[in-house]
Amino acid sequence: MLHLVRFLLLFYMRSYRYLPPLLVFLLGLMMLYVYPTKQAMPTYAASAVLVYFISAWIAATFMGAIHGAEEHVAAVHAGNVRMYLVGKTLAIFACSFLVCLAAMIYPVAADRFTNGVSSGEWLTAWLAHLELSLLGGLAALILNRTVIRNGSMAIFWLLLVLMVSIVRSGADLLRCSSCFRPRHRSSIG
Amino acid sequence: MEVLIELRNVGKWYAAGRPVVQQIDLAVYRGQGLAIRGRNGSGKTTLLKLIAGITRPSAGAVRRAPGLTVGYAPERFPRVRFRAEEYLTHLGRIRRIPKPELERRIQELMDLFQMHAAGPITHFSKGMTQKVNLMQAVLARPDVLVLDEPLSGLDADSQADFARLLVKFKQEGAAIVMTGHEPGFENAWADRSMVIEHGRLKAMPKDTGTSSGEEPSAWISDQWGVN
Repeated sequence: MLHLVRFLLLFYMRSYRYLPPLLVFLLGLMMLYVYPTKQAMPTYAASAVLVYFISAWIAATFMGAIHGAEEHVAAVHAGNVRMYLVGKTLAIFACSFLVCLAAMIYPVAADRFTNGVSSGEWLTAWLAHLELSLLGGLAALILNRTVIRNGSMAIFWLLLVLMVSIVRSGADLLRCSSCFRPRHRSSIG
Repeated sequence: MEVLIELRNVGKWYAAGRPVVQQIDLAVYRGQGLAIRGRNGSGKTTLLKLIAGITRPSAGAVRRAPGLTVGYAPERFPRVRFRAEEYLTHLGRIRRIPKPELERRIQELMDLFQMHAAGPITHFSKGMTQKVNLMQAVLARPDVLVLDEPLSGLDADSQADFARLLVKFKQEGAAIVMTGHEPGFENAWADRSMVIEHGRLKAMPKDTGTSSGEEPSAWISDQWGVN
């Protein structure tokens, strides 16, 4: 399985289809942390929403990077189609995990939180990032051309689901992040 | 003769009421060459995918001998961004072929197919790309070799070389199932010839094996209790 995942990741890397989502992600992350912030959670909530969108984009480009005939060849070598699909899903989630890691580590490494981050905030932010990246990846896995034959309709439904859920999940995350705010402030004050 | 794969009353459709293949009864025997002819859109590729286990039948049953190794060469092999050796190494590792054995096998295939080109497959000609396609199909010394129009794009000399390779693989015990359009493409290696028309498989005069309409083999009846 490890060899299959590595092969698929290499295949994706060499297609260069990861470049647009990667560049947008880096740009979004830098814009988010242009100015140092006191509160970690509201910014982490925003970066989790960014991760959600980018994970879906990466998954969609991953699905399109591998030619149908190449998928058949890889499935035969993997033993069966199910094994291949598991490998592909793991490879997509590996990409999403790296995006999460970057979103979590960048503000800390660049010293963007003036008041630091507590362990509770860190854990909550990690879970939120991982959860949203998985959801984004799954949305793209479900709403793709193999399931919805019309490619344009597949993109339309994916964007619709992302937009509707970004509004909802973004609001929830911001509400969740506000739970930390008073406690954090009181500890400082 | 040992039956490796058997299709029993198999049908496949992607939209209701529009079968791509239907009522297929077919047995693939060890060491036997089976040529399948058919026009574009007749269902050849779908039939090969069913044999290779890439797609599931919508009706009927496909049975395989336990521990069977299948090699598959698709019709439109993409020009991937790998060097030939690198690509074969990855596929061999996915197959869990031990590294020393895999290196030996790749070198053997490189010599056999006279493949000495460097650089990524994206820079290969159609003929060279097709060679890589065939090399990946035979990499694990498969029991059944499923080839979807492998001669398309090859010149006459390459086609003759390829026919000699098929005879060699057959002598090593592999069963070959191959589709094609070219006149007489099966002459050198095929023991059986069949034609597929509108999704239905029919025996051609040269065919001597199980074909549509026959009873299940004793092998499949014993193995899975199919009557």
